[in-house]
Amino acid sequence: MSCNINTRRNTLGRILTALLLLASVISSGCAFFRGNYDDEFNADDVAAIKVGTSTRQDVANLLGAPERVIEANDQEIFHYYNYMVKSGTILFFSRTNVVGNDLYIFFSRDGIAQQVISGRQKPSPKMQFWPFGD
Amino acid sequence: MLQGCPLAWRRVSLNEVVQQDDVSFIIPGETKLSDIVQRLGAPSSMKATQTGSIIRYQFLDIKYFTVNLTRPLPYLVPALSAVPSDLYQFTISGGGIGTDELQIGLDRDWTVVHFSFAHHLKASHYTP
Repeated sequence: MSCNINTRRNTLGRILTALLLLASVISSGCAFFRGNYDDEFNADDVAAIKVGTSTRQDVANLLGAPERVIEANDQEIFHYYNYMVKSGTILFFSRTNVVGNDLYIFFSRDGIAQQVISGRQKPSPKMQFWPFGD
Repeated sequence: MLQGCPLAWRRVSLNEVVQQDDVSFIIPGETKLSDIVQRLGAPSSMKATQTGSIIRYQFLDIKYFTVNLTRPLPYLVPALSAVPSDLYQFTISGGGIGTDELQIGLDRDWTVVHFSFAHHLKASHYTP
Protein backbone atom coordinates (compact mmCIF):
# COMPACT_ATOMS: atom_id res chain seq x y z
CA MET A 1 0.00 0.00 0.00
CA SER A 2 2.73 2.44 1.05
CA CYS A 3 4.68 1.33 -2.02
CA ASN A 4 1.75 2.39 -4.27
CA ILE A 5 1.49 5.79 -2.57
CA ASN A 6 5.23 6.36 -3.03
CA THR A 7 5.04 5.34 -6.71
CA ARG A 8 2.12 7.76 -7.26
CA ARG A 9 4.02 10.55 -5.47
CA ASN A 10 7.08 9.90 -7.64
CA THR A 11 5.04 9.92 -10.85
CA LEU A 12 3.22 13.11 -9.81
CA GLY A 13 6.54 14.70 -8.87
CA ARG A 14 8.04 13.82 -12.25
CA ILE A 15 5.02 15.22 -14.10
CA LEU A 16 5.14 18.45 -12.07
CA THR A 17 8.90 18.76 -12.65
CA ALA A 18 8.44 18.17 -16.39
CA LEU A 19 5.64 20.76 -16.52
CA LEU A 20 7.73 23.29 -14.61
CA LEU A 21 10.71 22.69 -16.91
CA LEU A 22 8.49 23.01 -19.99
CA ALA A 23 6.91 26.20 -18.66
CA SER A 24 10.29 27.71 -17.82
CA VAL A 25 11.70 26.83 -21.26
CA ILE A 26 8.67 28.17 -23.13
CA SER A 27 8.32 31.34 -21.07
CA SER A 28 12.05 32.14 -20.90
CA GLY A 29 12.36 33.26 -24.52
CA CYS A 30 8.96 34.81 -25.14
CA ALA A 31 8.27 38.40 -26.05
CA PHE A 32 5.46 40.09 -27.87
CA PHE A 33 5.54 43.73 -28.83
CA ARG A 34 3.16 46.12 -30.49
CA GLY A 35 3.88 49.74 -31.30
CA ASN A 36 2.87 52.72 -33.36
CA TYR A 37 4.64 55.57 -35.06
CA ASP A 38 2.12 58.41 -35.06
CA ASP A 39 -1.64 58.07 -34.83
CA GLU A 40 -3.80 56.28 -37.36
CA PHE A 41 -5.74 58.57 -39.67
CA ASN A 42 -9.17 59.50 -38.38
CA ALA A 43 -11.60 58.73 -41.22
CA ASP A 44 -13.91 61.56 -40.14
CA ASP A 45 -11.07 64.09 -40.28
CA VAL A 46 -10.04 62.92 -43.74
CA ALA A 47 -13.66 63.06 -44.93
CA ALA A 48 -13.95 66.62 -43.59
CA ILE A 49 -11.38 67.84 -46.12
CA LYS A 50 -13.38 69.36 -48.95
CA VAL A 51 -11.73 69.38 -52.34
CA GLY A 52 -12.02 72.86 -53.90
CA THR A 53 -12.69 74.69 -50.62
CA SER A 54 -10.44 73.47 -47.77
CA THR A 55 -7.29 75.50 -47.30
CA ARG A 56 -3.89 74.42 -46.03
CA GLN A 57 -4.84 75.88 -42.65
CA ASP A 58 -8.09 73.87 -42.58
CA VAL A 59 -6.16 70.69 -43.29
CA ALA A 60 -3.53 71.51 -40.67
CA ASN A 61 -6.31 72.17 -38.14
CA LEU A 62 -7.79 68.74 -38.84
CA LEU A 63 -4.69 66.58 -39.18
CA GLY A 64 -1.94 68.67 -37.65
CA ALA A 65 1.30 69.61 -39.34
CA PRO A 66 2.27 67.26 -42.17
CA GLU A 67 5.24 64.91 -41.82
CA ARG A 68 6.60 66.17 -45.14
CA VAL A 69 5.75 68.83 -47.70
CA ILE A 70 6.50 67.84 -51.30
CA GLU A 71 6.47 70.05 -54.38
CA ALA A 72 5.58 68.35 -57.65
CA ASN A 73 3.95 69.55 -60.86
CA ASP A 74 3.48 73.07 -59.48
CA GLN A 75 1.51 71.67 -56.58
CA GLU A 76 2.26 71.61 -52.92
CA ILE A 77 1.56 68.24 -51.34
CA PHE A 78 1.10 67.51 -47.65
CA HIS A 79 2.30 64.01 -46.82
CA TYR A 80 1.07 62.32 -43.63
CA TYR A 81 2.13 58.81 -42.62
CA ASN A 82 1.98 56.38 -39.74
CA TYR A 83 3.46 52.96 -39.03
CA MET A 84 2.26 50.03 -36.99
CA VAL A 85 4.67 47.37 -35.69
CA LYS A 86 3.94 43.92 -34.30
CA SER A 87 6.74 41.65 -33.16
CA GLY A 88 6.82 38.17 -31.66
CA THR A 89 9.73 36.17 -30.23
CA ILE A 90 9.59 32.58 -29.03
CA LEU A 91 12.86 30.89 -28.15
CA PHE A 92 15.14 31.24 -31.19
CA PHE A 93 12.54 32.59 -33.58
CA SER A 94 11.58 36.19 -34.03
CA ARG A 95 9.49 38.03 -36.58
CA THR A 96 8.63 41.71 -36.83
CA ASN A 97 5.99 43.00 -39.23
CA VAL A 98 5.69 46.68 -40.07
CA VAL A 99 2.88 48.27 -42.09
CA GLY A 100 2.80 51.90 -43.10
CA ASN A 101 -0.15 54.00 -44.21
CA ASP A 102 0.20 57.21 -46.18
CA LEU A 103 -2.06 60.15 -46.89
CA TYR A 104 -1.37 62.85 -49.48
CA ILE A 105 -3.26 66.12 -49.91
CA PHE A 106 -2.60 68.12 -53.06
CA PHE A 107 -2.99 71.90 -53.03
CA SER A 108 -3.27 74.36 -55.88
CA ARG A 109 -0.94 77.35 -56.08
CA ASP A 110 -3.47 79.43 -54.14
CA GLY A 111 -3.50 76.84 -51.32
CA ILE A 112 -6.83 75.13 -51.94
CA ALA A 113 -7.11 71.34 -51.62
CA GLN A 114 -7.30 69.73 -55.06
CA GLN A 115 -7.05 66.05 -54.30
CA VAL A 116 -6.97 63.77 -51.26
CA ILE A 117 -5.09 60.53 -51.77
CA SER A 118 -5.36 57.84 -49.17
CA GLY A 119 -6.82 54.89 -51.03
CA ARG A 120 -7.55 51.77 -49.05
CA GLN A 121 -5.88 51.57 -45.66
CA LYS A 122 -3.55 48.62 -45.41
CA PRO A 123 -4.55 45.91 -42.94
CA SER A 124 -2.92 45.85 -39.54
CA PRO A 125 0.31 43.79 -39.49
CA LYS A 126 0.13 40.17 -38.32
CA MET A 127 1.47 39.12 -34.95
CA GLN A 128 3.88 36.33 -35.88
CA PHE A 129 7.00 34.71 -34.47
CA TRP A 130 7.78 32.08 -37.15
CA PRO A 131 10.36 33.71 -39.46
CA PHE A 132 10.06 31.25 -42.38
CA GLY A 133 7.66 31.16 -45.31
CA ASP A 134 5.79 34.21 -46.61
CA MET B 1 20.97 26.01 -21.61
CA LEU B 2 18.17 27.30 -23.79
CA GLN B 3 17.83 30.57 -21.94
CA GLY B 4 19.94 33.21 -23.65
CA CYS B 5 21.23 30.65 -26.14
CA PRO B 6 22.73 32.65 -28.99
CA LEU B 7 20.95 30.78 -31.74
CA ALA B 8 18.45 32.95 -33.56
CA TRP B 9 16.50 33.37 -36.73
CA ARG B 10 15.13 36.89 -37.00
CA ARG B 11 13.02 38.50 -39.70
CA VAL B 12 11.62 41.98 -40.23
CA SER B 13 9.09 42.72 -43.00
CA LEU B 14 7.85 46.13 -44.10
CA ASN B 15 4.59 46.38 -46.05
CA GLU B 16 3.03 43.98 -48.54
CA VAL B 17 4.55 42.92 -51.84
CA VAL B 18 2.80 44.36 -54.91
CA GLN B 19 2.55 41.56 -57.48
CA GLN B 20 2.70 41.77 -61.28
CA ASP B 21 -1.01 40.88 -61.48
CA ASP B 22 -1.89 43.79 -59.21
CA VAL B 23 -0.62 46.29 -61.79
CA SER B 24 -2.09 44.70 -64.93
CA PHE B 25 -4.62 47.54 -65.08
CA ILE B 26 -1.93 50.20 -65.54
CA ILE B 27 -1.67 51.48 -69.11
CA PRO B 28 1.01 54.13 -69.77
CA GLY B 29 -0.52 57.27 -71.27
CA GLU B 30 -3.99 56.46 -69.93
CA THR B 31 -3.99 55.48 -66.25
CA LYS B 32 -4.13 58.35 -63.78
CA LEU B 33 -2.70 58.58 -60.29
CA SER B 34 -6.21 58.46 -58.82
CA ASP B 35 -6.83 55.08 -60.56
CA ILE B 36 -3.62 53.67 -59.07
CA VAL B 37 -4.43 54.86 -55.57
CA GLN B 38 -7.90 53.39 -55.86
CA ARG B 39 -6.42 49.92 -56.48
CA LEU B 40 -3.10 49.93 -54.62
CA GLY B 41 -3.59 52.53 -51.90
CA ALA B 42 -1.39 55.54 -51.29
CA PRO B 43 2.25 55.13 -52.34
CA SER B 44 5.08 54.91 -49.82
CA SER B 45 6.86 57.89 -51.32
CA MET B 46 6.49 60.58 -53.94
CA LYS B 47 9.24 62.62 -55.53
CA ALA B 48 9.21 65.43 -58.07
CA THR B 49 11.20 65.01 -61.27
CA GLN B 50 11.90 67.42 -64.12
CA THR B 51 9.13 65.86 -66.22
CA GLY B 52 6.59 65.13 -63.51
CA SER B 53 6.94 62.84 -60.54
CA ILE B 54 7.86 59.34 -59.41
CA ILE B 55 5.82 57.38 -56.91
CA ARG B 56 7.06 54.26 -55.14
CA TYR B 57 5.43 51.30 -53.42
CA GLN B 58 8.10 49.73 -51.25
CA PHE B 59 8.48 46.35 -49.54
CA LEU B 60 11.42 45.37 -47.40
CA ASP B 61 12.40 41.96 -46.04
CA ILE B 62 15.30 41.56 -43.62
CA LYS B 63 16.52 38.11 -42.54
CA TYR B 64 19.22 37.40 -39.99
CA PHE B 65 20.63 34.21 -38.55
CA THR B 66 23.26 33.74 -35.85
CA VAL B 67 24.69 30.81 -33.91
CA ASN B 68 27.44 30.81 -31.29
CA LEU B 69 29.09 27.41 -31.69
CA THR B 70 31.31 27.72 -28.63
CA ARG B 71 28.55 28.64 -26.19
CA PRO B 72 28.07 25.07 -24.84
CA LEU B 73 31.84 24.62 -24.20
CA PRO B 74 31.80 25.78 -20.52
CA TYR B 75 29.26 23.03 -19.80
CA LEU B 76 31.67 20.43 -21.25
CA VAL B 77 34.92 21.99 -19.99
CA PRO B 78 34.06 23.72 -16.67
CA ALA B 79 37.50 25.38 -16.50
CA LEU B 80 36.46 27.62 -19.39
CA SER B 81 33.99 29.38 -17.07
CA ALA B 82 36.99 31.27 -15.67
CA VAL B 83 38.09 32.44 -19.13
CA PRO B 84 36.40 35.43 -20.79
CA SER B 85 34.19 34.04 -23.55
CA ASP B 86 35.59 36.58 -26.04
CA LEU B 87 38.87 34.65 -26.11
CA TYR B 88 37.40 31.44 -27.51
CA GLN B 89 34.04 32.55 -28.92
CA PHE B 90 33.18 31.43 -32.45
CA THR B 91 29.99 32.84 -33.94
CA ILE B 92 28.59 32.29 -37.39
CA SER B 93 25.98 34.73 -38.59
CA GLY B 94 24.56 35.95 -41.83
CA GLY B 95 21.62 37.66 -43.39
CA GLY B 96 20.49 40.16 -45.94
CA ILE B 97 18.08 42.92 -46.81
CA GLY B 98 15.82 42.36 -49.79
CA THR B 99 13.76 45.10 -51.36
CA ASP B 100 10.88 44.87 -53.74
CA GLU B 101 9.64 48.08 -55.21
CA LEU B 102 7.10 49.26 -57.74
CA GLN B 103 8.13 52.52 -59.39
CA ILE B 104 5.64 54.53 -61.41
CA GLY B 105 6.60 57.61 -63.40
CA LEU B 106 3.91 60.24 -63.90
CA ASP B 107 3.80 63.26 -66.17
CA ARG B 108 2.69 66.76 -65.15
CA ASP B 109 -0.98 65.77 -65.55
CA TRP B 110 -0.52 62.80 -63.15
CA THR B 111 -0.81 60.30 -65.98
CA VAL B 112 1.40 57.19 -65.99
CA VAL B 113 4.41 57.45 -68.28
CA HIS B 114 6.16 54.24 -67.25
CA PHE B 115 6.16 51.67 -64.48
CA SER B 116 8.57 48.95 -63.44
CA PHE B 117 9.50 46.62 -60.59
CA ALA B 118 12.83 46.48 -58.81
CA HIS B 119 13.27 42.94 -57.48
CA HIS B 120 16.01 42.30 -54.97
CA LEU B 121 14.23 39.86 -52.67
CA LYS B 122 16.91 37.17 -53.17
CA ALA B 123 19.25 39.36 -51.15
CA SER B 124 17.20 38.44 -48.11
CA HIS B 125 18.37 35.05 -46.78
CA TYR B 126 19.42 33.30 -43.56
CA THR B 127 22.48 31.44 -44.87
CA PRO B 128 25.81 32.87 -43.66
